[in-house]
Amino acid sequence: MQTEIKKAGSGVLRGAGKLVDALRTGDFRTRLSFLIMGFGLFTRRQFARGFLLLLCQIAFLLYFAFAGLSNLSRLTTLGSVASKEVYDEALGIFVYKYFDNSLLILLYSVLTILFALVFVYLWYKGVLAARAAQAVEESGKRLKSAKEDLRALLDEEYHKTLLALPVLGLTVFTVLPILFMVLIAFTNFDVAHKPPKELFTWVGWENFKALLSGTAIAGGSKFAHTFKEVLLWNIVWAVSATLSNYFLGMLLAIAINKKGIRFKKFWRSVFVTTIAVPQFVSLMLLSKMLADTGVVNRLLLGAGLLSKAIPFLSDGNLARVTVILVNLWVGVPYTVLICTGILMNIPADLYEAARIDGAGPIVAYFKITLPYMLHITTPYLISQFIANFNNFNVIFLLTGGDPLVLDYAFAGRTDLLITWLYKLTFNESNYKIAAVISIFVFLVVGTVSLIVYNLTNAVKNEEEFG
Amino acid sequence: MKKKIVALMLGLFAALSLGACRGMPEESGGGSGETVKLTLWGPTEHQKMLGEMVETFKKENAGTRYEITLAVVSEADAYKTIGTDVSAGADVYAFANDQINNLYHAGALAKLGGNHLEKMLEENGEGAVNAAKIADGYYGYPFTADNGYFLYYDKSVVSSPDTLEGLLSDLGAKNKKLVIDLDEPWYTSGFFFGTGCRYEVTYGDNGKESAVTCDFDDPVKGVAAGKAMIALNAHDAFLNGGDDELKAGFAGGSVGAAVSGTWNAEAIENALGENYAAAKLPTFTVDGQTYQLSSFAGYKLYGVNPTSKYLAHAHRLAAFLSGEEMQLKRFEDVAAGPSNVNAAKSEKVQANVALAALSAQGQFAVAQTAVPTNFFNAVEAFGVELTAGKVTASNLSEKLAVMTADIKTITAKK
Repeated sequence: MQTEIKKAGSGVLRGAGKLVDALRTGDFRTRLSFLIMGFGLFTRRQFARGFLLLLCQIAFLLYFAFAGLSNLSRLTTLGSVASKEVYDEALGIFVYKYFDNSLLILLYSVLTILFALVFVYLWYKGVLAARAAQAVEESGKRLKSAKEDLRALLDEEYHKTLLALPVLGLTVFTVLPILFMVLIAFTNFDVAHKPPKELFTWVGWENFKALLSGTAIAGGSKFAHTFKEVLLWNIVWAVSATLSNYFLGMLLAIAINKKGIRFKKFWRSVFVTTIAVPQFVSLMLLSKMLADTGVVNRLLLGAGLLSKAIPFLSDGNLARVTVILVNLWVGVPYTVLICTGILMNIPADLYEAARIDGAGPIVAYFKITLPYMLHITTPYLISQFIANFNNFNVIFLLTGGDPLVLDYAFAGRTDLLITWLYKLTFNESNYKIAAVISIFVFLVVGTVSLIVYNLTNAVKNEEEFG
Repeated sequence: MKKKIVALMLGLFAALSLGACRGMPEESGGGSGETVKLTLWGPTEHQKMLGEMVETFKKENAGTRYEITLAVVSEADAYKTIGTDVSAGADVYAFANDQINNLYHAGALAKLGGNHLEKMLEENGEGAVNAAKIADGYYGYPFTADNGYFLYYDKSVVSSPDTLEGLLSDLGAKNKKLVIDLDEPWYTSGFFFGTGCRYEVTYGDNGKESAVTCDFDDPVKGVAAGKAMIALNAHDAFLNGGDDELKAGFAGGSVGAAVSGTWNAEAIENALGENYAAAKLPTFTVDGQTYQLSSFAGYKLYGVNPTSKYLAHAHRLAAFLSGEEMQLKRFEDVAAGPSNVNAAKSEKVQANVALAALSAQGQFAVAQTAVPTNFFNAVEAFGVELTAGKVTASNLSEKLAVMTADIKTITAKK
């Protein structure tokens, strides 16, 4: 980490050095490029590059003057007046006028800052390019034409062409929203502070404190307790859902794969059939079937096997067990499919050698099958863990997070962080707390996957089983 | 997770940027010759009726060229839909009055004034008028007053629908059930109101909640309501269930009585035939003291979007849709109980069994107005724990205290 900061620091220093150098050794055209972007290029007949840079400069300055500056100047307060209600005598109605919209101020400010960073980078590159063009001219060589520049993009610069779109998409669709969400976590954006009628403003670490140490904020003081409990259950759920699916799936695959099992193709098809039924259909059906007055309970009661309905989904602890079991139903077939393929790839001579050495099936499993499987499927396990950590579908469709309890804030016993997040945003409009929760979810998922992934054999010894 | 949040945020962006383009209403009057474009939200099952109403509206206002688009958003989902982005919402929309608090805070309701306000105040019953009131003004046009509940029962099974005890023993004798959705806060509240518990919200100058009082944890009144519910929940003849359970139960013969509202009248009448009956809710007795089971009286209203480009026309449409004539049409088409005083007095409305029972329950009902923001969440959690058997005589006062503290929590102080 430290070395990276040092690297970045020396990078900036080097860049500044280059700029000073350009200013010192450049002719007037290069020097004027500091003020008018691209000047040193289009005066040296590199019209396309030069004018493109100039165009970028004009566009940015226009944006900054007409939208950027006014929003950026209100960033510290996020606006002063949101809306006004005025009675219109002529029409006999109240009319509404809207002024500052905190959300748009925040959004445009973030955009302005991003644009400014890109602009500075382009400016830097433009100055260096002007200096380089001067050098080429001084050495008497011919400068590249626009056509040659374009051709280079398909040849030695091809990586830039390929990566342009993904990088742009990543910035617009991932970096920008995440940045925005992080900023929301430091505001009081909730049901009572909702643009365009109301403003929201900066509150510092207040939301984090409410979620971690239980300080009371508008909306209640139970967020910290709820967060702790939900996070704990979320981890228990992610671990048990992942492991139960993995091992049960593997066992089934081994069973099907065993010599002497008949109708192998049939068994495999049976499992694929479960996948063919859309997940939400199975889940909705099961949630109806397992309800207190659902089919399962009614049959059992009717047959006289029970005197009282089993609260599969309405008792907190039982509901947690139920969702894990039901998740097996929708998840195991995938593991079976994946494991079957890998199991068939394990060299049979390994087992033969083991048998000659006197190993039974259990020893063979732990010494050959499991290491082999883990070696190949750890990345899959990690992605499963993350998918389960945020398994919105199973929880939301099966229980909706219920049963609710009095000591949670807007959450039930089976709620995961992600479904709690959904309730907070869509039902309660509590965006501030939701933003903090999503930051934590991001941290947990990010940390776990990075650490585990770097520790796995699959990354360390790529060749081992080859 | 990332994907979902990203999608969520992007949705927000897209909606906002679109909204931003629309900007402020330039000319609320709508000049002559200009086509006035309005959007109207209503539930799926009312689309045909609304279409006819809109045609009548256009005929009566032939001087203006209207282009009115209907879209499906149910009254219960109004806030969920418009709350995320007001400027992208319909110009006129129907909502159940339990959402007025959130809608008001989201800036999704235009205040009534002038002639429209006078007419609304004059023509509607007191409860309905109060339902449109929040903070410093009136923010909706009431059009139904039937969003309440009462008792449906099978005449051949129940002979004493007046007391809960009699009702349960009648049902028990025939091995039938009483269905109440006890973990639905809207129904749970009836017991608390019955013993005299109340809440009150005070609004500050800025229109936000400044204080909430609530005595649901009262050692006498609150505890009595809690005890009654614990006893009911443990009774063999009681079934905690919603619309699905009671409709299937009446049809299949396992249910003999249920607490529900007018929306189930037709289904229950079809199932019971001649034995179909409805009455006010029964009384219940705790520790020798008898209380009348209370209920929420809810209303449905038309809201006008303050960001509407044609605000005056939107008000005109909302006022028209909630007028006496249209309320009568609504009663005839979908059996909705009118909030308009004249319409409610009409013979046709009076002859309806379910609406008559609702009206009998009316004097014991609590108007669902100015409900504390956290009320439904808190009472629902209590109801869920109670029906699951987690609330007992020994921890009752503790649970009541938690619930009451939640109700009192203010979400909108600053």
